[in-house]
Amino acid sequence: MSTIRIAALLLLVILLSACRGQPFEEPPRFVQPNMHYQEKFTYQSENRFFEDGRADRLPVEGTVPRGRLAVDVALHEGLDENGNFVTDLPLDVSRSFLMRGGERYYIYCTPCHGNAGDGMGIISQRGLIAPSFHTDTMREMPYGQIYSAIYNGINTMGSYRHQLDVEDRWAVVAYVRALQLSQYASEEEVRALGIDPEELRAQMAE
Amino acid sequence: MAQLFPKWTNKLPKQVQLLSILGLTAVVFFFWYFGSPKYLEVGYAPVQPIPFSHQLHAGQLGLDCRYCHGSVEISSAAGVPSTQTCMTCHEYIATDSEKLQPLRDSWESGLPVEWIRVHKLPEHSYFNHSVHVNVGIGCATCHGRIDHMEVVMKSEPMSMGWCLDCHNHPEQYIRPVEEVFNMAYEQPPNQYEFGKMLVAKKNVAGPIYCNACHR
Ligand code: HEC
Ligand code: HEC
Ligand code: HEC
Ligand code: HEC
Ligand code: HEC
Ligand code: HEC
Repeated sequence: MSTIRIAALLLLVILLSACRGQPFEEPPRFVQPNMHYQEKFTYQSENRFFEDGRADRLPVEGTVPRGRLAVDVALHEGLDENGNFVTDLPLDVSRSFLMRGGERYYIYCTPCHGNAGDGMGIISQRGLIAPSFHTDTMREMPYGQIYSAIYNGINTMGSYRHQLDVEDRWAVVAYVRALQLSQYASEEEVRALGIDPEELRAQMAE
Repeated sequence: MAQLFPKWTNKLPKQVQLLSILGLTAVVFFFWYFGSPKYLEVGYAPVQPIPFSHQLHAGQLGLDCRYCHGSVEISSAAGVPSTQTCMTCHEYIATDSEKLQPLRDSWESGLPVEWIRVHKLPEHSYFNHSVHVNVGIGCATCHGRIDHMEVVMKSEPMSMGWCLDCHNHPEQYIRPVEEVFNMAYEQPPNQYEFGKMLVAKKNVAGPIYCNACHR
């Protein structure tokens, strides 16, 4: 009888101490790690052959990936031939272009500048205060300067050039302009779109 | 003639039978339970060089996954963020935090922060994030509620059976593409019909031939 009890107790201890899905910190062990580890480097792996230990090497200084040669200064840096900010979008605007810009804006700019571009993003409330886009200086800002804020960063705002590629940067610039228009439309402009401002106001009040 | 076998041996065959059945069952159970990736891998939550919290950044602050895992839509790897990405905020936020010392060291030296991989398939199998994300498989389906995790924990076994379960029946898990990055998405009650509709619309077919994943 006692052996059965001991066996039952043992089983219980094993079951209770080792349930599936409990957090643990040491790397998982495998029953049979056949070809789990191979003599190749995957992303984020380490290569001690190099001093910095990176298996993903950085491109050699001065090399350019195919198709990424940035010779068009207006397109890639937002500057015209005199070094001034361009005042026009170098790409064609379409509906999908703006939608793409909106999506990217939502990912990368909303945390600080806020969904509506009013500078009330969550990070602004935590200490890194971003300006609103709805001031006269911002509305008159040339396209190139907004682009430059993304590409080079400005004062306390970091550069987003690594997260956004050229087309996406311009799409975001276009979207920022659209946001500015959306918050600064006159009643005539709204009427011209076939919307009655009185009705809208009544709806908002509800 | 003396008895060759004493009397107690009469019970022996039965006992051996019973014990071997129990023993074999125990062995099978042991491997089935403890040898499965559900036991060996689910729950892996290593201590990272910086105590980075998704619960704070993705949950409370509501940052989109792509702010940091930017390549998830365009390449096989989701990637961990560079020091530059963290520094867009942490150059000015929590600048005197002890916990962020390794980040500032990395910013000065140019050496990467050595994040520890949590999810890693055996190197004989290949996975691609962009294919899954662009047809509408949400991060939460495979990684769990990351936005509730202080420390990233592996929450799915990621075994071959798990991959194939979905490849055979993607309609159980698929969601509209706009909802992929929404952690709080809940499946509609008619998921089966809804999923079937999405699968048909996008012509989705998870591959089950071996060389899709073993090349
Ligand atoms: C981490 C917070 C943060 C994020 C994210 C952010 N910004 Fe900013 N942004 C700022 C701050 C802070 C300033 C004010 C900089 C200064 O001191 O002049 C600023 C300023 C600007 C300006 C004004 C530039 C000028 O010349 O005055 C523009 C335009 C701008 N941001 C656009 C963007 C766009 C577009 C994005 C998305 C790609 C973005 N920002 C994302 C924090 C942020
Ligand atoms: C502020 C940047 C940031 C944001 C936003 C972010 N992550 Fe992460 N993520 C990280 C960092 C840094 C790591 C590596 C350290 C770790 O594992 O905790 C990581 C690790 C992970 C891992 C584990 C990687 C591995 O090694 O296997 C997963 C899965 C993940 N993130 C998913 C998500 C999802 C899903 C979201 C969106 C809800 C998200 N992350 C948002 C920075 C971020
Ligand atoms: C969009 C801005 C933003 C980005 C990007 C960001 N963080 Fe944070 N982080 C914050 C805020 C806001 C806090 C809260 C600070 C506070 O509590 O005052 C914080 C807090 C932290 C803390 C806790 C600090 C403490 O002392 O409690 C750590 C650690 C941290 N972040 C690591 C990281 C790492 C690593 C990355 C890069 C993968 C990163 N963060 C990217 C905004 C950001
Ligand atoms: C179909 C399931 C699936 C989905 C959906 C998925 N992942 Fe993953 N994820 C994996 C697997 C499997 C791995 C391990 C990959 C490997 O070892 O090659 C992984 C690894 C990762 C890693 C660490 C390794 C790397 O690729 O850099 C991160 C970060 C990550 N996922 C983030 C995300 C984010 C963010 C999303 C949502 C946009 C997401 N994942 C959606 C299955 C998935
Ligand atoms: C929740 C559902 C789901 C899970 C889990 C899942 N997949 Fe998939 N996977 C899909 C769907 C759906 C497709 C088909 C995409 C299409 O039709 O374009 C796919 C396609 C693929 C492809 C084809 C890529 C190509 O180039 O055509 C590979 C490889 C793949 N999955 C690997 C994996 C691996 C490895 C795992 C397990 C670690 C996994 N998947 C887990 C849903 C899933
Ligand atoms: C959807 C992707 C996918 C497909 C299709 C697939 N596998 Fe796998 N396979 C995997 C993954 C992922 C693993 C690793 C599972 C783990 O982590 O334990 C694996 C593991 C294995 C292993 C175990 C290796 C070991 O470590 O012991 C074998 C054997 C195998 N696969 C054979 C096959 C064969 C044969 C086929 C075709 C009938 C096939 N696989 C099709 C994804 C796939």
